[in-house]
Amino acid sequence: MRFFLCAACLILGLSGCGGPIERPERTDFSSLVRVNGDEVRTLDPHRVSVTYEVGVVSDLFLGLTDLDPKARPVPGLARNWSVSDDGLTWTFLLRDGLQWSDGAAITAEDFVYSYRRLAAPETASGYSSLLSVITNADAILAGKAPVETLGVAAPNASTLVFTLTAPLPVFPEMTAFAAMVPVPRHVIEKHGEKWSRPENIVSNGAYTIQSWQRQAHMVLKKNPRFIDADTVAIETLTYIPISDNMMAVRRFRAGEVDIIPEFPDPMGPILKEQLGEQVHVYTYQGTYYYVFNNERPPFDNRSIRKALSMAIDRKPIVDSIMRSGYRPAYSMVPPATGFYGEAYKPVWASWPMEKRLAEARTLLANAGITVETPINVEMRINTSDTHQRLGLAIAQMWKPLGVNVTLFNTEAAVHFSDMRKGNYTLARAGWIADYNAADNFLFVFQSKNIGLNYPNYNSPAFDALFGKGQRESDIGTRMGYFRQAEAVLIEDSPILPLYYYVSKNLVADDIEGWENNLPNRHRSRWLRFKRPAS
Amino acid sequence: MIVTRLLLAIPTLLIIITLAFFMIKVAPGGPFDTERALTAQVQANLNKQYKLDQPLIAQYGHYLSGVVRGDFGPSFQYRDQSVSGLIRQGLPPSLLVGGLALVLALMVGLSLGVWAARRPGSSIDRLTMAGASIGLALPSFVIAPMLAIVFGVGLRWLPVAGWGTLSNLVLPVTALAIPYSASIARLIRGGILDTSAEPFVRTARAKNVSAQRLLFRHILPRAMMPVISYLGPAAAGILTGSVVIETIFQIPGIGRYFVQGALNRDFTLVMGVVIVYAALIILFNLIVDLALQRLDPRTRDAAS
Repeated sequence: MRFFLCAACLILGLSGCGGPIERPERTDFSSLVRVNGDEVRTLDPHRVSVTYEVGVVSDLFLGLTDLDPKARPVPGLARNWSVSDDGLTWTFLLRDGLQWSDGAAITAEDFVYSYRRLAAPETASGYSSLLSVITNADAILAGKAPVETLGVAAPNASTLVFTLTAPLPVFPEMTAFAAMVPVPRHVIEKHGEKWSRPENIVSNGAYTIQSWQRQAHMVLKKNPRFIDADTVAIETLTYIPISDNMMAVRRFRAGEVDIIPEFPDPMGPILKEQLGEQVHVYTYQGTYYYVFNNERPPFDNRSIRKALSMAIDRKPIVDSIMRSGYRPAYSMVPPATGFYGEAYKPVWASWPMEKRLAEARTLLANAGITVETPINVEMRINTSDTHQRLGLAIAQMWKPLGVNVTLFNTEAAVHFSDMRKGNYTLARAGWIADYNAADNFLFVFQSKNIGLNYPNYNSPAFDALFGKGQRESDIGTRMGYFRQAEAVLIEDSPILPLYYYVSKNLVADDIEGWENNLPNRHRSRWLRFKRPAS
Repeated sequence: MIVTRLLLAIPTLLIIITLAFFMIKVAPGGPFDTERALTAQVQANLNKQYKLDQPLIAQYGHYLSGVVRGDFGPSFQYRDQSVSGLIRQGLPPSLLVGGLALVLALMVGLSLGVWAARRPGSSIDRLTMAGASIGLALPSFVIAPMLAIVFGVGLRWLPVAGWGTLSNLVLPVTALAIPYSASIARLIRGGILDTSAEPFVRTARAKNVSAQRLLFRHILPRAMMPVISYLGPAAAGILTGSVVIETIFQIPGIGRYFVQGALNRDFTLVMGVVIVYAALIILFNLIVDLALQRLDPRTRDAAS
């Protein structure tokens, strides 16, 4: 009977049988299976570039600090840390008896070596920009200064001192990031480029690698030399790469995997019905937006950009198209970003839709755009269902204003390369912050940020306010400048913020130690299984 | 004969390599054009490391000289791996799934086709052929998730996807084999019906040869010819079809490297997989031609 039910559901196009779905009972309480969005390309912490690599590397390596289940910085290899009054000098004291997984000692010198490697131009790390805040890092990366001049020193074997060019209150959060962990000098010097292969790699985190069949599964084992090994409950950790997130959902339903990091957006409501509390939707530190090419007509005109942003009714977009708990965005910095307070909202965002549309019509009419004299705009998207559906909805909303949108989709490589070259008029983009801080969102639009500042936004006022904030060590004053900078940015409308991202994990209901958090970082070392009462 | 064919394969491969190389290079976007932008300095460093800053023709020469030595170069995405190493890891799963699918397609297709041909026009014949038409019409990206939902999520008889146990093989092999068994069933049925009308079969019948002997000794060898010629393109189709199946069922084969490599502009990885695919297809066609020659009494006698 069940066979026919499922077959019937399938034919009707439903994504599974309705009603709650029970996963099979767990028998092995020491082994956890996590899904990754795609295969990890390297385990070298200095070469990681995407979130799923960051997750695995953070299970293998531990930095000066770590993130607890709520993603707050806690001691990692460092026992404690302090900052000078001007916010420019950070001192970290290492714990005693630190070891690599092969038994070699970890010293402060290992850290100095690691940060120099991260900054070195030949490492070509995608995350080397994280070091920008450290003295001389930019010059080293540009090949204009030797790596020895980097502002990191080890006065003795257990002390590490950083010299920053500007205060960064979230520095202890940044040192927990995967690219900022120490790497084993003795292994790198022995194996060269091949040190990060599974047969050679030596790590220092909660887990070490046991086996890896690429594209199938990576098996990690608890590291007995991990500094907090006695607190780690999961003995065997398996990562499975699944790029088709519908398939990941099926495997979760079948009980083959325990945690998946993503599900298709429109499935939110049906999954909630089937899987209940196992669906974890939470605010994420990212913003989805459209970019106007500010240097090309018609979007070199600020009023046109602003009018088009006003004319988008974001509520039906998040409720009916995205359907998984996203929130409408009118700003770049999402709500709940560290110390930032409420998200910025332009005045018109609280107007009723009719008033917004009327104002948008007026602004457009002043620029000569009406239904009778429409303009044609090509919207560039990278291939994806979501981008496509959103693009179509936006086209519908703009059509009555005299803006006819045609969608043009390409694969991601072409999309982003064209945007960087300025070869577009209107395009979709998104930004997910590396750490929970407003500066990590706003720096994108600095006029000097070639590569990420897609609209080529160039505002001396914004640059000045942002720079002032960056040089300020008092949190309140710092955030004040950032808020002013963002006000300038949003009123200029170089971009059209659409919604704030959410993280969408499915987590088996017998897992403990999972807390939804803003950066969506979940170290496996904190997880354990609830045992059934016997 | 074999030697000439093998020698002919060399220029064929060279043309394929050259075309693929320049086609990949003219595709817009590069291996480092990711959503997360690299600074201009980092881009320049990477381009230099991978010799992407050299003129195209120099890159081509460099690549070709590597291939001749059996070195497919370093992967752009998997920065501590060589392309040859990745293919060595990915090829066995691909060949296993593809080979089993081909065997299954032959077994199922031949049995169904022979069964259907015994009484042409009967309800069994019509049912089998209707089933075959459906099997042919459904693309593997529809069949595969259907099988996974029904047997994995619904009935829980088999794993939805994954790799490592025998049960992991069942669904992908079946999904891959279905369209080919359908084709084979139709081909063998047609072959048997055509051959049955041939004079030599009528002669054999007149000589009172038993029905079984007639089928296996006289009809089938001849009726198999179209099936065997079909095996060349079928093997090629199963190879390329496995790109979809491998992605859906998470099989660690080279098909997934092909897709990922193409999307991420991992030039060397895509080239490596293209060369392996091309070599395999050339090899299959050669084997099929040799088999046809052995089976057909006319060409067999001519060759000996």
